[in-house]
Order: sequence, then structure tokens, then C-alpha cells
Amino acid sequence: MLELIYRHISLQALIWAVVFLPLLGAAFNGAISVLTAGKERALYKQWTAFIGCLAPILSFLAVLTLFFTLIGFEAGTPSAITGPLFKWIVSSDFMIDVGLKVDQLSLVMALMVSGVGALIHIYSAGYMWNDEGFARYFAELNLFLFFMLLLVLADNLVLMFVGWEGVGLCSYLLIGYWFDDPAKAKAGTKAFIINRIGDVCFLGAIFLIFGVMKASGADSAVDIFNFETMGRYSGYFLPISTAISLLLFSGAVAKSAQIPLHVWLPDAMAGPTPVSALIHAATMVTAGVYMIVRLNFIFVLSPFALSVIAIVGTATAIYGALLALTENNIKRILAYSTISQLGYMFLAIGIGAFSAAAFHMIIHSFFKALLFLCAGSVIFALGGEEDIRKMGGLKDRMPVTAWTFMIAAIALAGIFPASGFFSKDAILWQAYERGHTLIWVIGFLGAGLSSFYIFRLAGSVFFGEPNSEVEVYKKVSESPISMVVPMMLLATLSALGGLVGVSEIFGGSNHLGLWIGDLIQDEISRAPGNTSQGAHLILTVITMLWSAHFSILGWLIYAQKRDWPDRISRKFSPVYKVLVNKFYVNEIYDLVIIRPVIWFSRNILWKVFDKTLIDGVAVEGSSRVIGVIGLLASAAQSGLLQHYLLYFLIGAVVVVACLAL
Amino acid sequence: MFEILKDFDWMLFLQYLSPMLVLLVAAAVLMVKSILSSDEDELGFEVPFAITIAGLIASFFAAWYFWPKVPNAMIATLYFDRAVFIGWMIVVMATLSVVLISIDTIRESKVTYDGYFTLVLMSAFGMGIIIAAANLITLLIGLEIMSISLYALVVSVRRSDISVEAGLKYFLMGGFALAFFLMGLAFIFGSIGTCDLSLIAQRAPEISDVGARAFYMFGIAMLLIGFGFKIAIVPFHAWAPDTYDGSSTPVTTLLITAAKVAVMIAFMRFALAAAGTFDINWYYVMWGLSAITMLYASLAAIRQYNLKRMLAYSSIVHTGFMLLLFPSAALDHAGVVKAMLFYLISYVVMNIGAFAVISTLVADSSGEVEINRLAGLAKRRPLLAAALSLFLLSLAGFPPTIGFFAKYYLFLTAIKNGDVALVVVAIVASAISIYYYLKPVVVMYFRDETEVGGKAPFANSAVLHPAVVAVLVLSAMAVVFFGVFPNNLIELIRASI
Repeated sequence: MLELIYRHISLQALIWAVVFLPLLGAAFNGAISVLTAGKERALYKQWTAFIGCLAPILSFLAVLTLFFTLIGFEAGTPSAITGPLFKWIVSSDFMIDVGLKVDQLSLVMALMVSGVGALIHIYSAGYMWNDEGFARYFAELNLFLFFMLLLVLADNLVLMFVGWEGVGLCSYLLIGYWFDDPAKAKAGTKAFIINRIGDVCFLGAIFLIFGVMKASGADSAVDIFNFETMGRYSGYFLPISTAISLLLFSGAVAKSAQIPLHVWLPDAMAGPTPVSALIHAATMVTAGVYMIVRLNFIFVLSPFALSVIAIVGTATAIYGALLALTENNIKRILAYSTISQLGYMFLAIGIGAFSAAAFHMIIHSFFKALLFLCAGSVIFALGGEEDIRKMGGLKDRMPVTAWTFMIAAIALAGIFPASGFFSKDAILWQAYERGHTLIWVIGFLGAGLSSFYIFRLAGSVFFGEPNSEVEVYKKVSESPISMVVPMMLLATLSALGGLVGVSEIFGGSNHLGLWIGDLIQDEISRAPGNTSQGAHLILTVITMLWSAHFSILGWLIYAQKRDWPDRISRKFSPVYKVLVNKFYVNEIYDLVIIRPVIWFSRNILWKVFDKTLIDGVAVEGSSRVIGVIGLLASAAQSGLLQHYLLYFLIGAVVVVACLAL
Repeated sequence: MFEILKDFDWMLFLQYLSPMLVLLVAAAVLMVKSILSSDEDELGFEVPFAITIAGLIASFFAAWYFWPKVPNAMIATLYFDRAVFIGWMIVVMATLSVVLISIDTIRESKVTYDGYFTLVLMSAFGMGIIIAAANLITLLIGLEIMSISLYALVVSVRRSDISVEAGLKYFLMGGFALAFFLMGLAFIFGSIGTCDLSLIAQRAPEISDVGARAFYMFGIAMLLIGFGFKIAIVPFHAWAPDTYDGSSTPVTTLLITAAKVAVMIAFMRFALAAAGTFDINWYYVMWGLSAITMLYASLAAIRQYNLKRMLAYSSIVHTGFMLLLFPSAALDHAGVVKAMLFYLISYVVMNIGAFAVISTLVADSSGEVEINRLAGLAKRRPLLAAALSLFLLSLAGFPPTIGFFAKYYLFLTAIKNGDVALVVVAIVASAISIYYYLKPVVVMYFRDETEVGGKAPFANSAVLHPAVVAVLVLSAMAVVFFGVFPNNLIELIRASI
């Protein structure tokens, strides 16, 4: 099979195809979207859906081929590079290539991105079928996949940054996809602007890295931003590794919605639900984690930066879980859950468990994408309703959605044998084993909260009495086949995906962790800890029981005893208020940053600088001056030859006087 | 005299000169044909057109063929190095584009086809000589071959008497400038006894006599004024807006692109060889001329409501940008030549594109190319409007167009040579330029055609000639392609120095 493929296409071309197929899809759909503007679109929809889904599927098949090729490499590391497609930027003293690299990490990530991406494309074909801008939607979604795969497969930091910016752009476009609604357009803008803050930090880090690499004396004829080159000179990063790491981490904080730049992600739920599933749960938001794992050789040099990451990650993990408890919008609950789960990944990075972070990143993308797709299916069936208090009892009307959701919820809660159990266990165990007990305790508490909020969601949406209006409830039916099939496939992955990383205590050999671990210097030097298998087993069982307990509690309360929460919240009203108001973070931002900035902008910048100095003196003044000079100039251009000769002569006299005298 | 010719390899000389000789032959064929055919309409348009196109294409490929083989030597007062061949290719491509966009215009004007094409080919031949000239006298001859053809072209391809006025101004002032040029030549010969550029470069720094030195500098000043007229440096520019605006669009294009490129290359050679190597005054004079050219023409361009006139001023601004390289040219010969050639190529490509659009607009409706009358063009002719916007953005230097990298390399070279203050002036001029380049874009995209103010908007019905489409597509592709991948061009130029 592989021989047959490679007889027709080279490995390098296959790698490029992974990235460029979605771009072709985007170009095709973009062209359709532009050409059919204002016309009857029904005719084009089949083509749009066909090409729009075919490109990601082919891309996924290409990645799969690469995967089977690379695991066949018996000697040496399983990696392949395309080499430079062309030299992108060449200056006298440095250059940047455009090239891709497939290694353990990028391959796994690309498998996840293209696989989940392909499924969500298929789902979108059903979900968005009746939308006006069907072709525009697919153009943007394909474009997103292109940039995401570029980000993942790039072999140098600058090309990765291109992908990084590109996914940000597509995220902005897709959040504001229904830009007729000002609130949704605003949500897109908010996401874009907050991500700019992170991008500035990322750029700053690139500049610092450039400085380091120049000073290291790396050969200027090779691409100094190439990950491999950087890795070889990693020792030179030591003096400013803290600064670089913190700047890179700030970029990741914005992209992956960590405290304090998390505020854009809940608002980003304004986009279509498949977009939330693909971009704001499975792929783009994990780019920050991916970038840090990729650049781990810089981060391990700075214990301080790692502690900061661990603290921010832990805080975000518990914070997101707390907020999810009181939220009532189905998509926003999942958004807070995403924030919280991303916090777990950063927590893992902070304690040095890079491969555990990568493992959880992959598994999380499966079940979180599935949760979003199920939520989309529910919203689709209820005609746009997103408030969980107006749902309930849906399992009888849409059984597939309900049971796939349950699988994903079990995975999120971390209950054996669903996938999330293994990945979350890997993180918590690493935290404990490396002696970060406090982090372990908070992570443990967070795991309970996660179980509770997700089963609260499951209970109130799919079980108990229906709270929706009777006519609405009667009309509810299962979603179309193109939506159900991706959900079922993702459910399989959510249920069984953990098998790639079963830890030793359960008789597995943690394939994924070891595979990715090869790339990470810190983990290479650590001997695999077989010393305390007993402790590991005990902790794991305790965590699972703890989570299961909360799961059942959440499910019971919200499926059967819906009046309890009200009584509880009345009792603990101050705490509840804080939670409902999301710890007043938006309000604090408003008071501390936005209002002073607005005041400063309005009274100082606008009134003094802008109106008086810039508008009055600079703009109008300079335009007046320019206008007068221009007037003189056109008056000078009188059309009379004698005048022209006079200017000529004056000029000649001046030139001769200056030069010859 | 004949001693020189003894070991002179005629075959080699003719071989390397063949790109220009092809043009000369084509021109001669056309001339003979026009004498033989008494009734000019007998053969019509196709035959002279075909001969011209064939001549230009053959010339281009001859230049392309010999480009890697040239010996980098001087043969009989002409340089044959790769930079010369690059210059020839630019000029020939520009002339070819001019011929392609002129089909409709010359059909409507009163010029005979044979005559028009002969003049175009002769002027291109003159430009070739200017580019290759290694001797001031050869340079003068090339200038005259080119200029006389151009004077005739401006007047003969006319849509109204404005063209006659434009041609007359050009001719009279050209004569005036020629006097300066000749005077300068005489003074230089008188002071160091040679007109050969490489000998001048050798001997000039060694002049010890104060009087001879003053004579020499006087000659340099005079030649500078002569060049200043040809490439329209303020204050020797006054003819340019009137002539560029008054000529028919294809002739304007030829004047703005090919003619300016040829003289600019010669001026650069002259500056590198004869000036700036030892005299601080050269630095100040070029600094001042560059600054005043950029600023004055930018400010004047703002006031223009006529697109063609605006582009005339814009071409003067671009001259000013190119002059950035001259104050410290002696510091870095290779860098200056590289930046200049890149800039010239980008300058030619974007101007040809812009004027190709204008030629279709003018062919559609007579009269001035008022910017207001572009209103709503984006709706009626989206592709045409997009093309014009692309060329204007490139002229303004937006990335990712070729104009951006042209400016980038230019500024970079100037900064490397230490002319930071002048680059600041250039950036101010660029900032101003955004205003007048974007004005047509704004009008095309954001104003309804009802707001034209009584006059008919442009290009409602014009059918684009396939030749014009080809020119538009090629120049747009070049603008974008070299804007994204400037290295291809840079490598070509680097290989040519």
C-alpha cells in the first residue's frame, strides 16, 4: 500500500499536500463565494460541500500515510523534513526558509487537527446547509485548516508565526461570521484585539531569539529560526531564557485563553457551533500548548518561567471549572470547560511534563469537539435555543446525541476507561510524583468540579423533565446523518483514544508519551519512574472515585432534583454571586483598565492631543501648508515657456555656483 | 585614429551590439517600405506592426541570449557588460508594451503607421546607445537619436493641438538643455583631455591645478544640468508635466518609462565615474536636488485632478527617490547599481500598468483623464479598477507589491551609505504620496457615478484590446510576483553587476 503511494508521489510532496489541499479548498470556495455573490446559491452548495469536505479528508489521509510511513522507520528518529520549498526572506546576514517538518509531535498534532477538522467539516455541511453564506463559511473554515496545519508542520519559528497569525485571522472571521449582528461582530473584534496582545509578546520573543541566535554564531547561511538549529544552540538561550519564555508564554496565554487574557473565549461562542468545536475547543486554542512543547528546550532552561506557567495553569484550571458551575448557556459552559482543561495542560507544562500536556491536548480535542458537536446538534434541533434551563429530557428525542454526549462527558470527567481518564491521570500523577503537592490538590479539586459541571449539563439537557415548550419539544428530532456520523466517530475516539497512552500501572506502555518524550530533553534525562507504582495506583483510584462521585451527584441533582440548586444558591448567595459574575473579571477590567483608558483617551489623548495638537496643528495645519505650497506649485506651472526657462536658469546658476565655485 | 581599429574585432562588436542593430534594421525596413508604398493605406496597419513587434522581440531575445556571455569590456566607446544588457532588456520590454497599448491610439491619430513605428524603434535604438555609452560623445549622439525621435513622436501622435504645444515645449527646452550638455562636455575635455568615462574616472582625482579643477567641476555642473533636464529633476523639470500630459498616452508612457530609464542608467554611470569621488560639493548638490525634487513634486501632485498629470508628477517624485542614491554613490558602487536597477525595473512595470489602464480609459472617452470621472469604475469594470488600484498601490510602495521592495532596497542602500536624513525626507514624501495615489482608488471604489459632476464617467463600454489585456496581465503579475518573491529579481541583478 505504502509502496504504491510512494511510487506516485514523493514523501516531500505528500507533506506539502497536507498543508496545501485545504488551501486549494479555500481558494475554490472563496471563488464560488465571490462569484455567486447575490445570486441563487443552491446550485453551488453541493460543490462547496463536496470540495470543502474533500480537501480536509484527503489531507487527513495524507497525514495518515505519513504516520504509517514514519512508524515504519526502525532506525533513527521518526521524522521527515521537506527541506526548503524556497527561500522566503533573504538578507545579507540572515535568511528564512519555507519548509515543513514532520516529527513525532507535529505528526500527532497534524493527525488530530486534520482528523477532527475533517469530521467537523462534514458536520458543518449539515449544520450550515441553510445558511446564506455557505461557500464563504467553507472558504474560511478551509483556510483555517490550512493555517493550522502550517502552524503545526512549520519547521521554523517565523513560519509558525505565520500560521499563528493566520488562525487568529480565521478565528476572527468565523466568530464574526454572522456580522450582521453587532454583538457577534464585536465578539470577533474582542478576540482579535486580545490576541494582538499575545502576538506582540510572541514577536518580542522572536526578536530576542534572533538576537541570541546572531550572538551564538550560528551559520548565517542556514535558517536560524529553524527549530533544529535553535535546538542545537539552545545553550545560548540560558542568560535570557526567562524573558523569552515569559514572552512566548504570554503569546500562548492569549491564544489559549488563560488568566488573565481568557475573556475572549466565552464571547467567541458567538460563532457557529462547529467553529467553536474546531477552533475554540480542539485546535487553535491548543496552539499555545503546542508551541511551548515545540520550544521546550528554551522553557526548561528557566525554572522561574516554568513556575509561572504552572501557577497560571493551575489557577486557570480551577477558575474555569468554578465559572462553568453557574453558567447557563450551553456553549459558554463548554467554553469555560475548555479554559479549565487548557489550564490543566499548562499546569503539566509548568511542572515539566511536556508529553503529558501533549497527550491531554490530543485527548481533550476529541471529547471537547464532540461535546461541542452534541451541543450544536441540540441547538440545531431546538432552533437556536442555548439556555440549558429551557432544555431537558432530550434523550428520548435524540438518542444518538444524548449517548455520544454521555461518552464525552465521561471522558471529560476522567472515568475509567474513557480516554480522559488516562490523560488527566498522567498529568495529576506527574504533578504528585514531581513533588508539587499543592498543584496536585488543586488539580484534584478541579477534577471533581469538572465532573460536576459536565454532568450538571448532561442532566439538565438530556435527562429529567423537558423544560422547553411543548410544541418545540414535540418537533425535536435527531440531527441529519452528516452531523450524526462525525459525532459517532468522535465518540469512538473519546472512548478509546486513551489507549494510545495507557500508563504502566494498567499494563500499558504509554506509547504516545514515550514517542513524544523522545523530543523533549528534560524527559529524556529523567529515568522512567517505576519506583512507586503502588502510590500511583492508589491516587488514580481515589481521583476516579472522587470524579465519579461528583458526576453522579451532578447528574442526580440536575436530572431529578432541580429545585436543590436554587436553595443552595440562596444559602450561599455571596459565593454564588461571585461565581455568576465570573469573579467580576470583566468588571474589574472595566474599572481598572477600560474606564481609565477611555477617560485618558477622551480627555487627554482626544481633546488635547488629537483635537488640538494633531487635528488642529498637525493635520489641518500641515494640510493647509501643503495646500498653499501646492497652490504655489501649480501657479508656477504656468504653461509659459519663458517661466520654465527662468526656473531652469535659476537652477543652473545655483548648481554651478555650488559645484564649481 | 586608425591605430585603434587595428586590433578591433568587428565580429564581436556586431554580435554584442546585435540587440540594438536588430532595432535599427527593423526601423530601416519600415523606412524603406514607407518610401516604396506610395499609398499608405495599401498595406495597412498589420505589416508595420508585425515588423516592429518582431524587431523588438528579436532584440529582447538577442539581449537575453548574450547576457550571460558578455565580456564585461569596453569595445569602441561602448560598454558591454551585463548591466547594459539588463538595461536593454528593460528598455525593449517597455517599448514593446508601449507598442502594444498604442494600437487603438494610433489608429485614431493622424500619424502614418510606418512613420510612428520607425520613430519608436529609432528612439529605442537611441536609448540603447545611451545605456551602453562609455564615452560622453557617444552618449550625446545616443541622446540626440532618442530625443529627436521623441520630439517628433510627441507632436505627430496627437489628439489635439495640446500635443503640438507639448512637443514644442519639449523641443525648445531640450535644445536649451543640450547647449548645457555640450558646454559641459567641452569643459571636461578641456580640463582633462578625454571624454572617455573610465579615463575620466582615473584622471579626475589627480587634477592638481586649481584652474583645471574649476573647469572640470564647471563641466560636471553643466552635464548635471543636461541630465537633470532629461530625467526631470526639479528645477529643470518644468517641461515634464506639460509634455507628459499633452502627449498621447502611449508616447507619454514611452517618455516616462523607457526614455527615463535609459538616461537614468547613463546618469548613474556618469555619476559613478566622473563625480562624487572626491568632491564634497557634489554631495550637497545631489542631496539638495533629491530633496527638493521629492518634496516639490509630491506637493504639486496633490493638487492634480487629472490622473495623467498626477502620474507625471509622480514620475518626477520617483526621479527624486532614485536621486537618493547619488550623494554618496561613490561609497558603494555595486550596492547603488543593484538598488537602482531594481528600482528602475519596478518603476517601469508599475508605470506601464497604470498607463495601460489610462490608455483604455482615454480610448473610450476623449479629453482629460479627470480623476472624478473614475467614480464607480469598481462597479462597472471591477477588474480594470482592481488593476489600476494595484499599480497605484505599488507606486505608493505598499507591500506586497514590487514597489515596496524597490523602495526598501533603495532606502536601505541610502541608509548604509549614511544618508539617513535624506531617507527621512524620502519617507515624508512617500507619506504624502499615499494621499494622491489613494485618491483615485477611493474615487473608484467609494463614489457613485452620479457624483461625477455633469461629465460622463469613464469606460462604460470600452472593449479592451487583447494586446492591452496582455500588457495589463503581465505587468500585474510582475508587480505581485516580484512583490512576493523579490529574490528572483535580486539574484538576476546581482548576477549582472
